[in-house]
Amino acid sequence: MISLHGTVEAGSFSREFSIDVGNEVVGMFGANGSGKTSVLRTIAGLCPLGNGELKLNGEVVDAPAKPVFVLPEMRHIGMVFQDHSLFPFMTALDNAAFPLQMRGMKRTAAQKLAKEMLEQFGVANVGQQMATALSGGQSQRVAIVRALIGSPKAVLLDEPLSAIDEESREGVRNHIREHLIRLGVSAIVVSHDRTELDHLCTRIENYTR
Amino acid sequence: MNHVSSRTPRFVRIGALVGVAFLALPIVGLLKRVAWSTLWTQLTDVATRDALRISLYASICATVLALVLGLPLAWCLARMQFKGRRFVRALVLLPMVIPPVVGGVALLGAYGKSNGLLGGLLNSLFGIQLTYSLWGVIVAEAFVALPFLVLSLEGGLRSIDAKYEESAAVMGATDLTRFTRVTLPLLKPSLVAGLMLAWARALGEFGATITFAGNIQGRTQTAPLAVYTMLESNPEGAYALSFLLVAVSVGVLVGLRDRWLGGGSQ
Amino acid sequence: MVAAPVHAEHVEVKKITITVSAAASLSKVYTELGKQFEKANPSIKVRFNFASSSSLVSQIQSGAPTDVFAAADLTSFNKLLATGNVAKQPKVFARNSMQLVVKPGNPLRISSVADLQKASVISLCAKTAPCGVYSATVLSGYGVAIPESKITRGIDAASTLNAVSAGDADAAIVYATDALLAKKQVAAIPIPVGKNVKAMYGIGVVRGSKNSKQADAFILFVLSPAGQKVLNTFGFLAP
Repeated sequence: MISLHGTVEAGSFSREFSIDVGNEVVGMFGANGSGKTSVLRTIAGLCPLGNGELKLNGEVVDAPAKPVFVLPEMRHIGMVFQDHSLFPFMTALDNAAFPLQMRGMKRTAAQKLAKEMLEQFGVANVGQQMATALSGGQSQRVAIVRALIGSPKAVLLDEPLSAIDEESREGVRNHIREHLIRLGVSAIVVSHDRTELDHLCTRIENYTR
Repeated sequence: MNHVSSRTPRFVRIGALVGVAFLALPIVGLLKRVAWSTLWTQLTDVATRDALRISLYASICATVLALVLGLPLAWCLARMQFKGRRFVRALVLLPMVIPPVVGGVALLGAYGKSNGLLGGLLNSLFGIQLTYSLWGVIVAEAFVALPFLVLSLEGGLRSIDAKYEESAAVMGATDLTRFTRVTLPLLKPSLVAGLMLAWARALGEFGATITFAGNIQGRTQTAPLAVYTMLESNPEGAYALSFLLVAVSVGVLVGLRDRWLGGGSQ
Repeated sequence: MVAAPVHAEHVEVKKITITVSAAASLSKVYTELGKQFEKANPSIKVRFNFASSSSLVSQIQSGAPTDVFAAADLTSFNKLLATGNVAKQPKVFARNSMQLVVKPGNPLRISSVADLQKASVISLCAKTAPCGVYSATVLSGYGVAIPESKITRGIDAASTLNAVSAGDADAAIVYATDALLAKKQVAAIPIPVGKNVKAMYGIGVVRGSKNSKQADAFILFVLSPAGQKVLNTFGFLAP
């Protein structure tokens, strides 16, 4: 459950948003610049609200008036960033295993689970390569695995398929959808591709301007 | 390959050659003075061995001390907004700018047993005396080496893209974990370069060491002090030790290669 | 009546500069001698180079341009005679002796050189500098052996004393003249004549000097009654 009602601020950008996401996958459609990425960053806890309130699964995590602010590391969110942000000094496998290790899992066990999931997304073969050696499409798949793997309480995806080639898109999309259904949590997908959102989301909101 | 920028006019080439000669000639001159046949005997002489042992131990400890003190400083300078920032930055650069002997006099003013601000207290309360002790050498060397480390670390911290630390936070990494698992690995090139520069500076320190820690053979006489002392009593030994110090410096510089330009690009 | 313009004759007095390399213990007294010499000889300018006598010997042997050399001992001149950097024996122009200095108030209650075991750090000149050789003589005269681990070696006579006046050294054996100069910052304990040394200071022209006439003039001034008077005020004894 994601409930955001307030002003999203990022640098000079400032805009009112009113978003409620239940156990569903909501798509945010629109071109760049309308603040969609800033909304995701605010939900993740990377920038605080200007005013208003943000609730995650019933708990208030951001309310400047009270004041309440729960740190991003405590929010248990899975996020795919627009430029993946895989750690360049780690292998693909270690990148994917990272969220599990942060939740206390030992390295070997985390790597085992990560390998399985990387396989599902078709990138198990690049597991031992350094993240910098991966292609755009491969990095993005690893980033998707990384976002979904830690049993997050909410999932945020920022242009998750932008680097995936045309023919593989459907397959990856289905896998994401499968995992989201299995996780049974709120998810928001940001994309400028209408078809993508149609296939992935249960509801789409338009954010233009 | 950028054909316009890489054009090198002749006068620039000549200028560079002059620069190389300017730097190389003294080194060649030094090598000429070394008595190669007696090199080993000179380097294994008691005074020289003592000096090398003290220099090695003190410079490494000083570098570690500089790291312990410098990392928090670099962090605050790179990432925190606070009043008096310019003052702190100037303070950090000060030991690089003032003559080393002046640094030594300043250290006496702070930690001198007889009339230092803190020195008298340290001595009467804890029986600690920094002057004329190995710890005095370490403090003097750390004092002059600290700016190099802070500058390198600050530059490194500034150049790290925030996105890595952000994604680590979203994935559940708390402050300390983020620092050790993400920031430090990203900081490695600057850290290594900074440590090597700081260590080389600490190793070569003379003025502050001799003023604050004195010139006691076997206790505080570092390699540079030994070279100076031997220059009149045992010139052959002085040249031998000088050669060794130059060789070590060359080793450090080769180890740094292009990293010290701060980027890791070729 | 129109007064005819008067043209003053400007005679360019060409100043000759001589370089005098002198022992560190001579820095204050020679600076004063230099001033008085320049006053009496307006066409000569004196430039000083102060360091420990042994450093200066190395410098001169390496070819450092110097007209006059003044050392705190005569051994330095013997070295230069051997290497041909001076042509003849030096003139002895002053005598000095050693003194023991301690922190003001003498906190360790050191009464003589024999008491030096009480000190934790003692400042002495470099072993091969004249001042260091003299101190060693004084110490062996008392039968006192100080372990090297308690001795901090100064790079010249002045910095050796500074270790006591500005630093944390407990005692130093320095020239009586330096102790006199620093009388406000240190307490001086005299060393009796029987246990003391006679430090003979020599002065001479360095071979290769391009201004030997002016160099000779300076040496003559140092040896003259006027020069000797200045040396006396600074605590140097007559040769």
